[in-house]
Amino acid sequence: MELPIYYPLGLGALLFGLGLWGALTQKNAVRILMFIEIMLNGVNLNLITFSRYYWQTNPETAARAPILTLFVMTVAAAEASVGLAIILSMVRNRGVVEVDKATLLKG
Amino acid sequence: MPGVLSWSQLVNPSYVAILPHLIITATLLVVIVLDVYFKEKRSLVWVTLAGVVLAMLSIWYTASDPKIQAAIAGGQPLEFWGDMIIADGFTFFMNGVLLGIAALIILLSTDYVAKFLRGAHMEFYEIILATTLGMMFMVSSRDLLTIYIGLELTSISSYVLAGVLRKDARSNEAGLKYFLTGAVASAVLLFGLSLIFGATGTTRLPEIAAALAGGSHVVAAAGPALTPLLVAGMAFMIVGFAFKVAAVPMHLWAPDVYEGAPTPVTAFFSAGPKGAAMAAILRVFVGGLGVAPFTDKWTLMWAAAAALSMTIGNLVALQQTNIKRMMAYSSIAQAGYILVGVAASGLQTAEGISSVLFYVMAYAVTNLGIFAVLTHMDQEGGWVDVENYAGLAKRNPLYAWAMLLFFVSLIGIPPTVGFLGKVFLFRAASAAGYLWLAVLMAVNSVISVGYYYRVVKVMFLDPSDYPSLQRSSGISATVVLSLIGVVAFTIFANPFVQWTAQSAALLQ
Repeated sequence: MELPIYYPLGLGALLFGLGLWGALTQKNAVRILMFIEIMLNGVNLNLITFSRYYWQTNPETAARAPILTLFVMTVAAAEASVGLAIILSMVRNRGVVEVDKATLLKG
Repeated sequence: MPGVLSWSQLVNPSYVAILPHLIITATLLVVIVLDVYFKEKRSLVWVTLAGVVLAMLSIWYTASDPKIQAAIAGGQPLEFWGDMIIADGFTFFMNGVLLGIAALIILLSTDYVAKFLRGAHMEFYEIILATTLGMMFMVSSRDLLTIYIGLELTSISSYVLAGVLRKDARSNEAGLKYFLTGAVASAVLLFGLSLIFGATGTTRLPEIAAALAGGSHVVAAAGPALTPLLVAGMAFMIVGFAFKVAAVPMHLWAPDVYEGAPTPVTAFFSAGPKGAAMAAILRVFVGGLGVAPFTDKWTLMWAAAAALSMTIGNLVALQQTNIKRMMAYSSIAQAGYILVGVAASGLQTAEGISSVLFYVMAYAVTNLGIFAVLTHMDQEGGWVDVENYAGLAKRNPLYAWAMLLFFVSLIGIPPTVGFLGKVFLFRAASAAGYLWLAVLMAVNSVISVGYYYRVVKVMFLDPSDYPSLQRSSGISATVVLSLIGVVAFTIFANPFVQWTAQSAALLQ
């Protein structure tokens, strides 16, 4: 049975929306980082689904999306490590991980 | 160039396409290794600078090779990694500008880094090099994949740079805010990218353009049913890119990050990543999505962002007392001016692109001069408020007069390079039918006089009991180089105008 393309695409959009909602509403920096990862997973699911969809018609170009997905995962790992290092130095200096307590800079 | 051997005979020509990137990578690795062995870090800074200058020379050398010029003129520019990276006039120009920015940043930060970053002396320069590498990949790629990777290399290095003063709580906070907002913006941009892939089935920009224009032998046409998907993808990408150039409404990170980050880093943010993101916007939107029915949609979105950025940036800058924060809002307004050219480039491609390129160059050289003085004031006594600049005309006449000229150029008063840049933007916008945007730009230039004048008044007229400044050769050199740049780009503007026009013709 062929899976309708709307299912994975809908799940991808749902994951992205959930991640965006969480990243904009949460206060804890680590939690925001986790929601950002969920956003990226939604994007990856989108890319893979579209790649599968174009596999019949554009075989030459459809393979680029899975490659991009691999890069997105690598970049996400790099981003998480840099982000955790920044959060860690914030915790060491000030003892807070809550974003709404970072108010030294006005605005 | 009439040499005995030309590059294309010596090596596989496709490597020449990424020659400056390779030189920067090699410099980065050499500096990392030497960092372990050398105690005297200041001499290593010159190695970094030498690598950047060498990369600039390699651009000049390849760009003036007759075979490469003929290949570019024949519509077959050098490419690398299967067409992902290309070396056309646009690449040469933007890489030259970005390397120039990196060189000036290395020069102006020498004393600041020696004073405040003792534990991470060379790390600062290594990350500057990594960021420069990311920016160069951003402007020279013709594929959404490499543009994304270049953008992430730039962004992730920028997060580290913003938080590089580890013990300083303000720098920590700038890094954290930049990281959290920047990562969300990257994810939004990536979602837009996936939707564009969904509508066209490819990530390569010329193929996207072909799919939008009715298909080719590689890609099928994107039918009218896919238009909503495309427009949604465009909107997400515009949001992501607007964050990277700090355009309203995605600008709220900029004042906090600019204020909290170390001043040389702020200087870098205001010129480098912003200019590179502008070039990437041109690559993606003109090179990939610049096909007739879609052009109207994204030009309108960018025009709205430009109008908001100029107006809000200038109006909020009027109320700032911290000069770094003021320059942050000033750079938001300047991003708005550049976006006028981006919006115009959808309808008047050649004029729009060349005006953007020229203004990015003019803005970078002017802004770096101002930030060199800001860096000196910060490292000398932590003076970051406008009132700390009282009597600067007596404390250091060179800085005060140079700042005056730079401000005049940023406002766009003739005869300066900023004026020329604004004239080109104005001409492109009115030719593209965005006369209201051009007029709004002129009105905004007048508003910006208000806050620049306040600094000038404090520098020249206010009495002060501050001591005169110590010497800082790196910063003086940067100020003088920026002065030479502002004057030279004004008097000898013609070759640069022709160069940008040629680069613009190549992007289509």
